[in-house]
Amino acid sequence: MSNTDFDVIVVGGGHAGCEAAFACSRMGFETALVTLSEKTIGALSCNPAIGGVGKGQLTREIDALGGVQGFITDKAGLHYRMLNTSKGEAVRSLRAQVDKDMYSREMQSLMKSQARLHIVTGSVEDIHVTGDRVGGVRLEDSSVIRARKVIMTNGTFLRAVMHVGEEVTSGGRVGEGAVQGLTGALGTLGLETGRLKTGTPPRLDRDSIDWSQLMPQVPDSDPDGFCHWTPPPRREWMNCHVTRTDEGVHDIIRDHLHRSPMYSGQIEGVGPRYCPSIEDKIVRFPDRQGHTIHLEREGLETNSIYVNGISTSLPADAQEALVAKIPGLEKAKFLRHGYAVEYDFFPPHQIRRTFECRALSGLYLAGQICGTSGYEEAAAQGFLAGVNAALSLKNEAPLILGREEAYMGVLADDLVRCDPREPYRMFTSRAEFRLQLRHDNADIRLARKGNELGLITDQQAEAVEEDAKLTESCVARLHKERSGTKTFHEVLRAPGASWESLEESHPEVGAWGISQGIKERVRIAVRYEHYIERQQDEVDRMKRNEKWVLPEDLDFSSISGLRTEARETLTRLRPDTIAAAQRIAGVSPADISCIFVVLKSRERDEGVL
Amino acid sequence: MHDPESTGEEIIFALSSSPPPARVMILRLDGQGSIGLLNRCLSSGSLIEPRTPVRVQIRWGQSDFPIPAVAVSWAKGKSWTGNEGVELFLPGGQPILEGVLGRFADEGARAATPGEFTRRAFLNGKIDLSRAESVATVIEAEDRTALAAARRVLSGELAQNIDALSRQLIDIIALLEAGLDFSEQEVESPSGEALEQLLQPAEDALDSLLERRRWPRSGPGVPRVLLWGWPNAGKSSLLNILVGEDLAITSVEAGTTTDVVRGLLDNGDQALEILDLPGDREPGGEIERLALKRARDLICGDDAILWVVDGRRSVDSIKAEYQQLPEDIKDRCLKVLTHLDQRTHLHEEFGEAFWVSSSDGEGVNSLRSELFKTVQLDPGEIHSAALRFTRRQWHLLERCKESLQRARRGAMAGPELLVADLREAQQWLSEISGEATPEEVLDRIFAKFCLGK
Repeated sequence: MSNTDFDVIVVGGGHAGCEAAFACSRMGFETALVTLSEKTIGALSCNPAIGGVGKGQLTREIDALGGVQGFITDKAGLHYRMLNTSKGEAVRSLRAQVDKDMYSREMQSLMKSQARLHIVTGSVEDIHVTGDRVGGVRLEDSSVIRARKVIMTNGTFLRAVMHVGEEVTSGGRVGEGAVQGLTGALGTLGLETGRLKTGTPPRLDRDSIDWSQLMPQVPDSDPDGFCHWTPPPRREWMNCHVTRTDEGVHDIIRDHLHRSPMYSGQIEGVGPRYCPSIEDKIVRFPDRQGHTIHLEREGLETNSIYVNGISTSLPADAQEALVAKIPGLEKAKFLRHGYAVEYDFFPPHQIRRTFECRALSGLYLAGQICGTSGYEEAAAQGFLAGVNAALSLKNEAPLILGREEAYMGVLADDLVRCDPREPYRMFTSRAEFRLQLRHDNADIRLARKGNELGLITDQQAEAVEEDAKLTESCVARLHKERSGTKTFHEVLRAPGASWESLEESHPEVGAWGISQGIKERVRIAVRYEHYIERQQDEVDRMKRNEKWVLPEDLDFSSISGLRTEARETLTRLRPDTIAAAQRIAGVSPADISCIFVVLKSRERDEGVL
Repeated sequence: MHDPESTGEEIIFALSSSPPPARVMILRLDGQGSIGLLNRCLSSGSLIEPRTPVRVQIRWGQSDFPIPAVAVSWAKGKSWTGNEGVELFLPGGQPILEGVLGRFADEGARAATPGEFTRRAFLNGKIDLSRAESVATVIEAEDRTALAAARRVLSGELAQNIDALSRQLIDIIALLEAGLDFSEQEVESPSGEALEQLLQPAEDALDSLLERRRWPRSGPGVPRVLLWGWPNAGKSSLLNILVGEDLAITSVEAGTTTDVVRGLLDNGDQALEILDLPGDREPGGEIERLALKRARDLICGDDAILWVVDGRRSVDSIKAEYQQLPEDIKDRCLKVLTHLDQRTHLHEEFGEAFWVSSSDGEGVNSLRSELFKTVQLDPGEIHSAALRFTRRQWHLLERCKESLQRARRGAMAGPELLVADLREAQQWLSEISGEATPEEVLDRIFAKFCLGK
C-alpha cells in the first residue's frame, strides 16, 4: 500500500462520485475525490428535484443501504409530493424539490467531514496503468496519483459541447469546462464510446414573472422524506406553479425550428424520448394543443426559476420570443438560456454488474458516462461501484442485487446488457417485480445488506428487522383468525376495507396492540401478498437461469444454430448468465437452447457436475 | 433434450415416408457433410446444384446392382432443419431400405432419434416452439380432420394467433403503464368502460382460439380423468377396476406426491387417461399443497376430475370434506362414493353422485360411460377450423385465460395489480412462442404519448 497514494480514486464529484467516495471511505479505505472544482461537488446540473416515479425508489434504496442522497435531499427539501397516490403503493414515488445551493453545500460539508475522504482539485486526463491493472490517474499537469482502484464518474463532461441555437461552446455545464483527453485515453484501453445528448430549459428571474396568473401546486403537508434514519423533514414548504404552452407558442417554435441544432444536424447525439425538448414535442405530437409547464424555484436565496417542460436548444432570441407567449411569463427576464449538451459515454455493456470495466481490472465506470440520465440513477451506480471497489479491496464477494430485490438490481442488470440509443432512465415498468420493490419497504429489503457492508448500524438494522418480524406475525395472525367464513386477511383485503373498518367490525383486532407504523406495513403487505406469491415461480425460474453462468471465454460466434442477429447481439453485449441472455431483445428461446447445448457439453467435457 | 449432436455436427438419417410396402420411400440425411456422404454412395450421377433433383444410382449392401433414385440436396441454412441435407426418393422395399441405411451407417451417419429432425429445426431457429410441438402431433394424427388440425398449427397458424393476441395484450399493458410511469405528464390510462372495451376483445380472441382445440382419440394427449380424494377413499381400487388392470401401487412411501399412476381407458372410439396422485397427505399439509399444484399442472380444458370418497362414512363428514375442497376442484368434479356393497344407509343428499363398488364392479359401467360423456367428444361437432394443440399449449392458453379473467375481475383494485395480471397473461402466451421484453412495452409507450416535462 505504501507505493500508492490512495486506495481508491473517484473522478468526479457529482451524484455518482459522492456516493462512491463516501461509501469507500466509510468502508475503511483512503479515498481521493478528484474534481474540477470543489464548489461544484453535489451540484444539481438540471432540475432542482430528487425522486419521481421509479427514481424515488432508487433514492430510498440507496438510503436503506447507507448512501447519502436521501439524507442530503431531506436537508435541502423545499416541497415534497408523493406521486401516484391514487394508485397502489407499489407505484407510489416520492419527489422533492430542493434548494440547489443548500443541497450542494450540505453535500460538500458531509464529504469534507468524512474521515479518509480527501478532496483533490484537478482534471484527470489519463488513466495510469500498472501491468494489467489500473494504477491511478494522470492529471493535466502530468502528475500521477496512484491508487488500486479508480472509479470514473465524469458525468456529461467528456468532450462536452453546449448548444444554444447556432452558438456552440465547449463545456459540460454553463460556466464550466470539458475534459478532452480522457475519452481517447479510455479508447486506447479498448473501450468503445458513443455520444448522447441532453438538454436543460431556460432559467427565469422570479421577480419578472406574473405569479397572479399561475396556478399553485401545493406540496404534501407532512412528508416522511427519503431518509429512513432521521426524523421527517419539517420546514415552511414552498409551492410550485403551473402554466401551459398554446398554439401561439407552438407557431414560434415551428418558425425557428430550422435553427434548432437538433434539427439542423448540428447535434449528432441522441436525446431521450421521455424527456424531449419542446421542439421535439411539437414535431412529434403536432396535434397536442398545449404542454404543461412547471415553474420550480431553484432555491430560497436565488431568484432563479427552473422552467420545467421547455427544455430547448433553440437560439436565444427564439427562446425569448416563445417564453413571452406563455401565460404569466410575458415579461419574464432570462437568467440563463436553455441549452443542449452533447457528451461522450461508454456503452455500459462494457462493464460488469460490479461496474468494473471488462477491459481493465480495477477501473470502474458509474453514472452518466454509462449512458444513463438522472441524479438517482447516477447515485445508485456510484454507490454500487464504490461498494464493489471496496469489497474487492477486502477480497470479499461483490454486492450484486437481484431484479427481485431492488430497483438498483434492475438498473445494474439492465445496464450490463444495454447498448443505449438514448440515456437510460428508470421506470417502474422496467421492474417486473415492482409489486415487491416499493418505496415503503426499501428498508426491509436492504438495511441488513447495508449493515453487512458496515454502512448501517446494528441498531438501525435490528430496528428494521423488528418491524419486519412484527409485520409478518401480524399478517400470519390475520390469516389464522376468522370472522365467520372469512379470515381477517380476506376482510382487510376486500376493496374499500381499512384497518379502521376492520377494527370497527371486529373490535378484538383493536386489542392486538399493533402500532400505526406496523398497521400501514401490514395493510400494504396484505394488498400484494397473493400477487407476490404468484410471481415467485417466475423469480425462482430467473434465479435458476442466473446460476447458468456464461463463461468469459465463451465464443458466441462458434455456437452453431445461433441466428446471425442473436450472435452479433450476444457477442456485443456479452451477457454473463442465461437469465441475462434471455432478457436481451432479439434473442429467441431457440437461441437460448443453442447456448444451453454448448454449456452442457462443456460441463460434460470438463467433468464438472 | 439438449445434446450437442442435435445441432447438425453429426449426420443423421431416417425414413421420412411410410415404411415398405409403400412403393416409394423417402430417406433423409441431415447434417454437415450429408451431400459428400451421399456422393460417396453413388455409382453414377452426383449432387452439385442444390435444390435441383438429380437422377442417381446408389450402390447398396453387397449387391452389384445399383438402385436408381432421385436425390435433392439443400445447402446449410436452406433445408427444413437449417442444416445441409439430402432427400432421396427410392423404390420401396425392406431389403433396399436396410441396405441403403446400412451403407449410410458405414459412411459414418447414424439413425435419427425420434423427433431429432424437428429438434434440429427448432435449435436452428427454423421453426418456433409451437410448430415444433405440432410436428409430433402430425406424425401421430389418426384421421384426416386430426391431420388438418395439426397441419394448421404446423403452418404457424397457432403461432400467428398467439402472436396477435400477445401484441393486443402488450398494447393494453403499454397504455396502462404509461398512466403509472407518466401520471405527472397528463397521461390518462383507460379505465372503466374504455378498459373493458380493450379487455373484452382480447378475451374473446382467446376464447375463440380455445374453441378450436380438439382432443386426439388415441395416443399422447387424450383427455384425462384425475382422481382426487384421501388415500383411504378407495382411489387405487377404483382406478384398477376402471381400467381393468392392476396398476396402482398399493403402498406408497409418505411424501411421494410426485408419482402419478396412469391407466388407459379405451372404448374403441376414444381413449381416456386416468390419473391418480398417490401419497399420504394430511388436509392442509404441505404434501397436500404440492399434490394440488401437481394436479393443476396435469389437467386442463375438458379433463374430468373425480372426487372419490368412502361411502361408508357419515353424511356429515362427507359434506364437511366436500366443503373443504379447493374451489376449482369443487366446481367441476364428479362425485364418486365407493364401497357401494358395504354401505349402511342411503345417502339421499348425494343423489347426483355415482356409487361404485370396486369389489363386485357394480356402478362402474355407468361411471365409465359418464366419463366419456363428460369430456365431450362428439366427432360430429368438430370445428371445421379445428386446431390440434398439445396439452402444454392448451394448458398455457388456459392459464392465460385465468390471468385475463382475474385481470378483469380485479380491474377496480388498482392499475398496478391489473397490469400484474395482464403481464402474467402475456407471459403464458410468450411461453408458447417468443418473449416480450420491458423495452418492447416502453417502445409502445413512447410511440403513443408525448412525454416529458
